[in-house]
Amino acid sequence: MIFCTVGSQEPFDRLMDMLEVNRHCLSQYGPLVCQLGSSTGVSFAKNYKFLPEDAFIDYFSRSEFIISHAGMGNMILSLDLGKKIILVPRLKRLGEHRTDHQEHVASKFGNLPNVFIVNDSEELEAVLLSEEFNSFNTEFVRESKSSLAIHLNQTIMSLSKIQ
Amino acid sequence: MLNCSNNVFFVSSFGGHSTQLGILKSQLNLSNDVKPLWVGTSSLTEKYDFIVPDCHGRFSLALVKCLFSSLLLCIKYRPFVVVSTGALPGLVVGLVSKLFGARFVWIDSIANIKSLSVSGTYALKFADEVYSQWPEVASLYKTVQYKGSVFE
Repeated sequence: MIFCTVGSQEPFDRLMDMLEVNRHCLSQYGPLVCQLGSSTGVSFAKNYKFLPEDAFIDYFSRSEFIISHAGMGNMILSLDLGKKIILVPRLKRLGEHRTDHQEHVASKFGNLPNVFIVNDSEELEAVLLSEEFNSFNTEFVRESKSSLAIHLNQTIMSLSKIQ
Repeated sequence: MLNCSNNVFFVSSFGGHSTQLGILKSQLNLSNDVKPLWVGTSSLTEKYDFIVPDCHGRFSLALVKCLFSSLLLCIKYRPFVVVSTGALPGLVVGLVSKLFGARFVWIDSIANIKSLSVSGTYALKFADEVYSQWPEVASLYKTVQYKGSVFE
């Protein structure tokens, strides 16, 4: 199974078109499930406008890989679950987002082993056919505690003592 | 003191901000006399303790609703610390809580890799502590600290 999710803000029909074009390539990975938000549905997918969080996480965890806009929530969840994820940055100039931060996010995170950035149908096809993509199965595990969390913990506890 | 409670507010809007705050929150090991309360903007999930109306951009009715809702929450629960990863609703709750004597900690979203978010630059004006999750961004501002990111 493949899970595609594009958030709930502006529609992202460009990504949906990329999926249509690559139907043949994608179908070898099993059924496609899409959370569309306000985007147009994909002809060969099981389309949902919005999924409750439980169902969302269930699809996310059970799918072989994720196709998504370069939103931070999906990015972080994929790191959490050690999932490979194909990111298509939303572009401001095409009216897909208010800023171009998704491009920045994609460029910063693109070198992680489970992250694959694509910008059009040809690039998507190339990734789907690539050895690098298909051989990735590394457990990408996040350390249990970040230094930021440890620092925040100390800050909160020291402020609670000043009370 | 006005803020005589042991409540800590964790505030964020839905999506990536909430995901990051959730990860941070799950990694904390607070003592029993500190009570974490999660404030979100979406009633689509039951994980939040409280909901404030979502708002973004410039002045709007949604902002007024969010402000009013934050005021009620802060009057009732008097948090001594408010932690937010963004965006505007976190800023609003942080600002209101400061009026009641709370400390406000802003952790700028990891999505902001070139400069602080718009909300983050406002937070700079009144938050007690501001963190960026990127050292390059923190180095652009005198008072922004870098102490790592939600995932390392």
